[in-house]
Amino acid sequence: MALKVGNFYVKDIVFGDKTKFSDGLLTVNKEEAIAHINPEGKLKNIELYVVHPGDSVRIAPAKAAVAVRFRPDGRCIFPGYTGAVSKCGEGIIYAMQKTAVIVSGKYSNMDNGIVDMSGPGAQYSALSQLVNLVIYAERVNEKDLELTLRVEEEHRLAAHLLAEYIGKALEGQEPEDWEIYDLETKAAEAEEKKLPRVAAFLTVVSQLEAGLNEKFAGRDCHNMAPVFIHPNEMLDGYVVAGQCEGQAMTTYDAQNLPLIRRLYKEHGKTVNFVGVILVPADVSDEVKNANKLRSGEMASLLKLDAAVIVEWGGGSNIDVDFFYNVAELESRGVKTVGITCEHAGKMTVDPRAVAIVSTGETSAILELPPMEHVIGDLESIVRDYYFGTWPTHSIYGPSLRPDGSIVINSFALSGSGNNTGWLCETVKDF
Amino acid sequence: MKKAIHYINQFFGNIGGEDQADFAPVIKTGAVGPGMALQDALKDVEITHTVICGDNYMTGHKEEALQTIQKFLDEQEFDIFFAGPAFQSGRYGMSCGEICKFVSEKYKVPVFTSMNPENPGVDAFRESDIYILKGNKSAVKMRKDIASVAALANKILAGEELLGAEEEGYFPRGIRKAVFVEKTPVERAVEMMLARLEGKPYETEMKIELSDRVVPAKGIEDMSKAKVALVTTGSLVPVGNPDHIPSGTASTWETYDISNLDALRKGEFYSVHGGYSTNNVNEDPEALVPVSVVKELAKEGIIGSLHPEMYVTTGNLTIVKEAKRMGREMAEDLHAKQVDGCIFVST
Repeated sequence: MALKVGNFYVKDIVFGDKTKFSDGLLTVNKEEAIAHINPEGKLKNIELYVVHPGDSVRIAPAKAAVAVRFRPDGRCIFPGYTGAVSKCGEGIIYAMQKTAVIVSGKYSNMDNGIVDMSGPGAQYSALSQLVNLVIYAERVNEKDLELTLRVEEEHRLAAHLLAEYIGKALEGQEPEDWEIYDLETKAAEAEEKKLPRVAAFLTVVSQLEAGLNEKFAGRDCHNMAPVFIHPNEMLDGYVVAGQCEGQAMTTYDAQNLPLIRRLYKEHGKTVNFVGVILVPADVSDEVKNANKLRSGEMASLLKLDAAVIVEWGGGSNIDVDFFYNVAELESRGVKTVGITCEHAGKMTVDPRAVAIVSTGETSAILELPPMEHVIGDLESIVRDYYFGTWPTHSIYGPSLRPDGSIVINSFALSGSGNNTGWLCETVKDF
Repeated sequence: MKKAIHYINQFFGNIGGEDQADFAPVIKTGAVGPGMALQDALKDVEITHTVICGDNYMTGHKEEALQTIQKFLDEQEFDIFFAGPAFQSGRYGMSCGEICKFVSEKYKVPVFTSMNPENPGVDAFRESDIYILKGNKSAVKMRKDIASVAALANKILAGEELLGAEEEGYFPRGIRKAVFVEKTPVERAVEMMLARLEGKPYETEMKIELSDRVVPAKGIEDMSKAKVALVTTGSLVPVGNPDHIPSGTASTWETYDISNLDALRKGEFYSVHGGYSTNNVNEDPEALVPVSVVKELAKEGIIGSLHPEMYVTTGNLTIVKEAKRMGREMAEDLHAKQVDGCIFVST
């Protein structure tokens, strides 16, 4: 099952009469785009913005980030979510690189983040390095504002629909370059060479109420058991993310996942990359144990020699699953490398985790200057919930100051944990 | 020119050997003994005074020793403080650690010492906001140890950015910071995996320290006589949050009087936690801290009594070092108030 990704590199985005892509310039017909992302009229006050690296812009809240794709065969780009479920990870897909669609709104949800396009906060977020098309929208039937976590499917869907709509501008064009992900052809080579068998284990948020978690093939991952998937399915829109906070994996991350792309480079050369296991992180210890055994059995059945496991979603809950899985794999003789970020330590650890790559640190207290433009609502920083902002604090005071500057935990910046691994960052003892 | 004060023991202060280990602290003008070499190695720093104290005196009469030295230091102005080097000498290392910790906390100036990795002072004090340089075993390598102390001090005084504990040659201080490097995490992970597969050496980026394991306390023998306290990291506070308990990154904790309440009620208490869905708790605070149930148990004689204060902080995005400190402070307070056991409610 080979996936051919044809890349187009976006240099800038402007608004114009017709949505088109030419020589790196993406032109977007705003009205048409807005109509497209609001099919049932559940959103209001919709506005689109273009933000560049270096702009004095703060997006607060950022609710989801999605990469732009287009399928020349006409199928949807998020099977089971923006259209019918179909086989995924095969054929030709076009990709707009160096850009993402981000969705913002008036109210923050606990799993939302902040994106600064310039200033000291910009270095901690991969999204700050892209030219982004940003949606601002409010829900017509705004509700559950008193809840720290609420299902806001309208926003998430809008971002994915916009990525799909924009992608259509690539129709009939010739990509600048191609990436080919062909697992099976090289697997034969790898088997002949008897190369060590390797899989990637990726944690997914599944512990929240349905509607807030990651989706797989359009279905919420709540209560899901570990599932074995083809790496191409990950790159090709089968995973729709639920979060945009500091330790989140966004849909954009899943569609471009650096670990999968890197393992493909080694596939057939130094390792035999056999596949990907999505590891849900549930709440009860019983289910955690059951899930870790399930991933362990998969590792044994796949006769793995080594594995890389990535922790996303953050917090003490998924720390447990991460270390449970590392320990389980190691105890079965699978040489396991863990990729995770830190928050000035870990809630739980296991001494069997002997090889960990630390991607970032989300406990730093950051003072970030005011920005000229805010997309979203600056008040959300103290009125609503983010991981890493405070309406009040015994030492630092409120996160939002009268001049628009903010004092936050780095966790509040989207992707600041760097678990996906975009940024060349590690954590050291000081 | 910055001013420094240097602390050394009776031996290096030319007072005497083991027979003078009980020597009470004195302060002398200028650099003494190893301070001479330190003075030479420092840039734009003058060692104005040297404190000399016997190792047994510092370790055996800590309070008196620190009190006396505080009197000395209160009369001086200084920007930086040094102690040692202590090499592998256990008592000297502990003494240097004590005084460095004290000076760091009290005077908020950068503090430096040097110890051999096997010195017990390293583990006892390396997380006490002091720089302990990795030193040699004995005074034969005195110049080397002094040179490394001075190099780090010069760097910090010059406002240069530090590269990390390993690179700068000091023991990790329990502080983890993000730094930018050349390779992506994925690149490093794949290299680490290949190294493991080939049996080649590799270095984990997060060392697991097993000293963090918590040993559960012994059970309470007679619950019917036990005073029980309720402790929560679930941020349950009186409505209005009078003490500004943060929703995350807390470094303070509070107690709230619950002696006159038969239950925690909606509208009187709520959770300001930013890490779990507080919907159910705000609907009924007893779902988090079951005061009424524990009071019932006390009435029935199943437990002795409920401690009149509820202990509250936020356990969300908390720095482990701060969590440990708050835990220790709460435990000390509970202990002082003769609480026999506590229920640490779950969130």
